[in-house]
Amino acid sequence: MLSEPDFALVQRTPLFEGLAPEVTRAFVGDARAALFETRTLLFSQGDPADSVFVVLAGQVRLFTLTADGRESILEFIAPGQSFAEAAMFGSGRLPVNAEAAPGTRLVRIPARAILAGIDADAALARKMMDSLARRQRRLIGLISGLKLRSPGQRLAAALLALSAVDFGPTTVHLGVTKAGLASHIGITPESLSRAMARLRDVGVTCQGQKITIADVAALRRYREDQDAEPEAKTET
Amino acid sequence: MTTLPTTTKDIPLTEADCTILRSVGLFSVLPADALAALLAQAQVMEVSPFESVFEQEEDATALFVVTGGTVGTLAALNLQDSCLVELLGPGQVVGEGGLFDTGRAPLAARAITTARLIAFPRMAVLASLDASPPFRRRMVAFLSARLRVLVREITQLKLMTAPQRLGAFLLGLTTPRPGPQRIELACERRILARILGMTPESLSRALRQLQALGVRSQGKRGILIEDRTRLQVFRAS
Repeated sequence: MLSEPDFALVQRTPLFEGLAPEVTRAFVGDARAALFETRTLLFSQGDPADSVFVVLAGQVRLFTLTADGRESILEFIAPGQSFAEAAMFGSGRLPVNAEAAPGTRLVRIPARAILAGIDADAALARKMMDSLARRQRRLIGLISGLKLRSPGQRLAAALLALSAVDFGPTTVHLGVTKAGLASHIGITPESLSRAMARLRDVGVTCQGQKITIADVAALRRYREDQDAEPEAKTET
Repeated sequence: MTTLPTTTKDIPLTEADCTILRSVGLFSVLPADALAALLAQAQVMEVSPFESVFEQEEDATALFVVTGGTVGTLAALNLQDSCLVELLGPGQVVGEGGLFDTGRAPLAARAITTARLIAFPRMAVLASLDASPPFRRRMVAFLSARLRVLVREITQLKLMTAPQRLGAFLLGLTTPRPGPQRIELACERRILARILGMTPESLSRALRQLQALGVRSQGKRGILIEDRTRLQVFRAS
């Protein structure tokens, strides 16, 4: 049985996000969280794809082997992300290798109940597709933000997302470290300091975790300004 | 009745279209009669370079399979500026995001070169999904795989420098074998720059930096990669 925080992470993955928690619980069944204290190969390329994995803590590395036996890393899977679902619903064979880093915790949810659910219930399958499409829309928004906005505009967008008001002055609390905020908006901590300095011109001041915005509407205009620091766009 | 895009002409389906369609994993699980029924409602489109296949946020009318040329997907933050997200060629599917949830397209699609597409009306695709459990499985697989591609792109945008992003893109066009290999870009360099989220000048600088790793420009669209492994090490650095 998964703990509530672990189950909450599973429920927030794109595949399960649109389902009622009791449906997700039925799919999870008696799957348990597994802790890998040492580096462990979870599966190899060509193995049957009979489960979906959700990382609860730590990191999983997906990689393929080249013709001369070298590893080619495809991506790292972070907590709250799932993997192997595309192969599970598709070809039935895993196209990559997966290795858990030391200290990784994950849950392996068997395919059988999920596939049976999709086969038996078109409406349930549709909810999964809706949820995956919603996540796709969010990711596309992130990509266009990263490609089209300067670091300063990205920081402005992140601060506006934390603001509870649409105009006038406000104060927001970051709730994450500055390094975490920099990573979230895809810039280095040094670029974050420069971006924060630029936002002073539009009335944004920073004291530790507390950010004061003199005029939310002015910050929104800066976020949408096509001419804001064009030379800095995406060159992080 | 679903209305297909206005650019649709009455163009006959060819054997070449059908061959490409049969190679598309998403449709490969449909029995022949179900695929034939779906095709009976489909229309072939030919779209000129930079002409729209569909626009962002408009009501989705169809799911498209590219059977010729190159189509680019574009995402806009506002009315003035958009970026290329992906380039899609023959055998690739576009428009799936608008089939579900709000029913509106999360991005736009435009022909980059003269493109040919089969357009399956949205309602016909949804009806096929209702009728076919294997098609449902494949669609969930396809949507999951698309998310993975987008997550990978976000990771690259966040973590990689411009030369690393270019290196990763070029590596994606190579085959995993030792020795030099020549690849052809499917688009002009200014379009590649937009896909990678950089200016054309940054792309030129990145390409110059990759020369030290054995990446050589050959003509307008050719690139010679002398040592794939060196590029892989650089991408991961």
